[in-house]
Amino acid sequence: MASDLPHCVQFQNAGKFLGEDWVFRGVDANVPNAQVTAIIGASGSGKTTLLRLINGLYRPDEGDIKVLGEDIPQKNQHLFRRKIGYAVQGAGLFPHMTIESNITKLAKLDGWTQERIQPRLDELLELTGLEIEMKERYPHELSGGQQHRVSLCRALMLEPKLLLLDEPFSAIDAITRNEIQDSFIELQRKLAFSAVLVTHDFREATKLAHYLLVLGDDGVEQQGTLQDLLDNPASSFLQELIETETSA
Amino acid sequence: MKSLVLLILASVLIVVTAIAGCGQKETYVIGSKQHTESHILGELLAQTLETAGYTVDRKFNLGGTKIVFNALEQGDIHAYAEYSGTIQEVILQETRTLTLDEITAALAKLGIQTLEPLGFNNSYAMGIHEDLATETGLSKVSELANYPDLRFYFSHEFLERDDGYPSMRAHYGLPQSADGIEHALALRAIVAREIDVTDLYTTDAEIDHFNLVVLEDDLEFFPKYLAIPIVRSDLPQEVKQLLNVAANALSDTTMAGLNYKVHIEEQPISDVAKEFLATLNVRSTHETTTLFDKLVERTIEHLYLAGIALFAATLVALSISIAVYSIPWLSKPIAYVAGLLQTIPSLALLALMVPLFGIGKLPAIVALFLYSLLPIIRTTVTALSTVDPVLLQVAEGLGYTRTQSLVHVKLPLSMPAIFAGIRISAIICIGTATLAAFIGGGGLGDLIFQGLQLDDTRLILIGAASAALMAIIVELLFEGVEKLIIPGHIAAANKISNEPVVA
Repeated sequence: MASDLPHCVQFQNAGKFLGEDWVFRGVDANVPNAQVTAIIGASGSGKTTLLRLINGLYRPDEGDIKVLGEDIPQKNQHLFRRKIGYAVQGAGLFPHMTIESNITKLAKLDGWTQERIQPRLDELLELTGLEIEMKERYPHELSGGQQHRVSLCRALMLEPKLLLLDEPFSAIDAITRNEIQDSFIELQRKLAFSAVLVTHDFREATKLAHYLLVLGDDGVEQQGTLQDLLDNPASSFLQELIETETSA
Repeated sequence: MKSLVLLILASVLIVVTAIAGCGQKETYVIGSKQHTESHILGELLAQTLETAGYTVDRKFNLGGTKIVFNALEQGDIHAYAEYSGTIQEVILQETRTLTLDEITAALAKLGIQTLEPLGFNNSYAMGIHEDLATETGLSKVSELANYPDLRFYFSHEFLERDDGYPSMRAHYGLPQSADGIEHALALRAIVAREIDVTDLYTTDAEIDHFNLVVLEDDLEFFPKYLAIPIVRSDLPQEVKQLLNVAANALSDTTMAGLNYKVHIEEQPISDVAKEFLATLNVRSTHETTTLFDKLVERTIEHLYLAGIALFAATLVALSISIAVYSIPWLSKPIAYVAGLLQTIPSLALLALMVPLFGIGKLPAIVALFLYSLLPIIRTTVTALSTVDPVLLQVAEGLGYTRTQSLVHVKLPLSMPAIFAGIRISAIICIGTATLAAFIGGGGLGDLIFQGLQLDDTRLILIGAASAALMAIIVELLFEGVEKLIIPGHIAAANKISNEPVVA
C-alpha cells in the first residue's frame, strides 16, 4: 500500500529539457509520505516543471520518477491523475459550473454513486469552512478566498493520497491567505494526505511544510526539514532568504 | 409466424410500389421561365392536364432559358413553352436561321419533342417612350445611331445572348453601350424617363398601357420567336395530345390580351388561363389559391429550406470544427475554403448547383448549406482554441480525459460563440432562401419574383416583409433558447452573442 511507503514521490536523476535548455538535471529527491513538502527556489529554477513531472503533465527527458510507489503509466494517464489532487494559482474553477459541479463532476465521470458523492461533498465543504448553500452558486458569486477553498475541495474530492498545489494561495490578499493556510494545516492534519506545494513565498513554505526542496540553477541544492535547512543553509539562495526574513 | 411476417412485408412492398408507380404515371411537372407570358403558358398546360385528371407539379419562375431547358433534358420537368428563336440561339447555338422542321429534328436528338406552335410570334423589339418619339421623330431602329446620348437598358438575357444586343449593335452599327435591368423595372424606368431604350416583346401588355412606341426593325435583325410547347419525347401520347390544347389558338393580339389581363388588370394568372381554356372548350377545375394560402405555403417551404440547410450545416460545421480546431495547419485552410464559398454571390452559387442536382429544393438546400458553414466553423474553431489554458490544464491535471475536457469544459465555455455563429447562419439562410425560387426551390422568394414579374409592389413587399419577420422571430427564438441553456454570466462574458445579428 502506498501509505505504508516512506516516500510518496521519488525522483531518481530526473531531468527536463524545455525549449532550448535543460530546466534541471540530476534531481534526486524523496518526498516524505503523509507530510507537506514545499518546493522553493528562485523564479526560473523549474519549481512548477518539477511539480508537473509528478502527475505526468510533463514527461522527464532523463531519469526516473516513482509516484505512490509505482512508475507513471504510459496509457490511461487520466486514471493515474485521479489518484492525485491538483490545485493551481487563482483557483482555476470552471466558470460555467456551479460550485457543486466543480467539486463533484469528476467523481460522477469516475462512476461514483450519488450516495457516495453527497456525504463526501458535505464533509469537504465543512472541513474547508464553506457553507452548504454555496453549492448552488457559480464561482463568480464567491469571494476570492471562498473560490480557493472550493479549489481545495475539488482537489480532495476523489480522496487522493497525494495533493499537488501550484502556488495555490498566491493570488489572494494577506489576511485571507493566512486564514486559508490555517484551514489547510487543519485539513492536512485530519486527512493526513501527502502534499507537494510549489511556492515563491518562503514564509508560506515554513508555515505549511514539514520538508523542503530547494531548487537552484541546475537542480536540487538542498533538501530536508525546516530545522535542517535553517541550521545549515547550503545555498546562497537560501542564505539570502533567511537573512531577509530574519531582518524583516 | 415466419410466413406471416413475410406476407406482411410482401404486401407492404406491393402497396409501396403501387403508390410510387401511381405517382410516376400520374404526376407531371410543368415549368416556366420568369416572365408573365411563360407563366401563363405554363399555367395553360398545367390546368389542361389537371382537368384530364393528372396531378401537376408547377416549377414556375425558373431563372433563365438554360436552367429551364436543362431541367427538361434531365427530366426534372416534363414540359414548358419555349420560343423558336430562343431554341435556335440559346439552346442549339446556331447562328443561321433554322426552319421549324430543322428545330424539331435537332431537339429530337436530345430526347425533346416540339408540339404544335401556339400561333403567336413574340419577337424582341426596341421600345422607347411616346414622348421621346415625338421629340426626336424616332421610328426606326437604324435611326438610334443618330442619338448617341440615349440611355440603353436591356434585360440581362438580351444583353448576354448571341442574338441579343451585341449582334444587334453590330448589325445596326450603333454607338451606344448598354446596361442590364430587370424587365419589369425597365418599363417603370422608361415611363419615369430615367432610361430611354429597352427591349420589349411584341406581345407585351405594357406597350399600350405605358404609351410606348415600338421601333421598326428596318434592317430585319430580329428572328422569329414562335411560341412552342416542348416536351420530353418519352411522355405518353395521350399527354402530348393534351398539351397540344392551344395549338394555333393564340394570335399576337390574343396573347397580348392575356398578358394585359394579368399585368394591367391584375387578375390572377390561374384565372386568366382558366378563362382562356374555356374558349377552347376545356372546363378547368382549377381553384385559384388565395394570397393567404400562398403565403402560408411559401412560408412553410421557406422554413423547410432554411431549416434543413441550417440543421445539416450546424451538424457538419460542429463536427469539422471539433475535429480540426487543435490542428492549425488544417483548421486554417478549412476556414479559408468555407470563406471562399461565402464570397460566391448567392445567385451564382444557386445556379452552379443546377448541373449537379437539377432544379428544385435539393440544390437550393445544398447551396444554403454551403453558405451556412463558414460562420459556424469560424466562431466554433476560434472559441474552442481560445478557452483559458489554465482551465484546460486544471482539467487535465485533475484527470479529465481529452473527450471529457472537450464535452464538459471546452464546449460549454464555447457555447455563446457557437450560438452566435449558428444565429448568423440562420439569418443568412433565411435571407438567401428567398433566391431559391430562382431554381424552382419555392419559398417566399416565389412571391417576390412573381411581384417583380407582375410589377406588383404589394406582392414584393409581402414576400420581403415575411422573410424579414421570419428572420426576426428566429433571432428571438435563438435568444430564448440561449437564455435557457447558457448561464447568464457565461453569455455576458462573450460579447459577440449579445449583439443582435439583424440590424
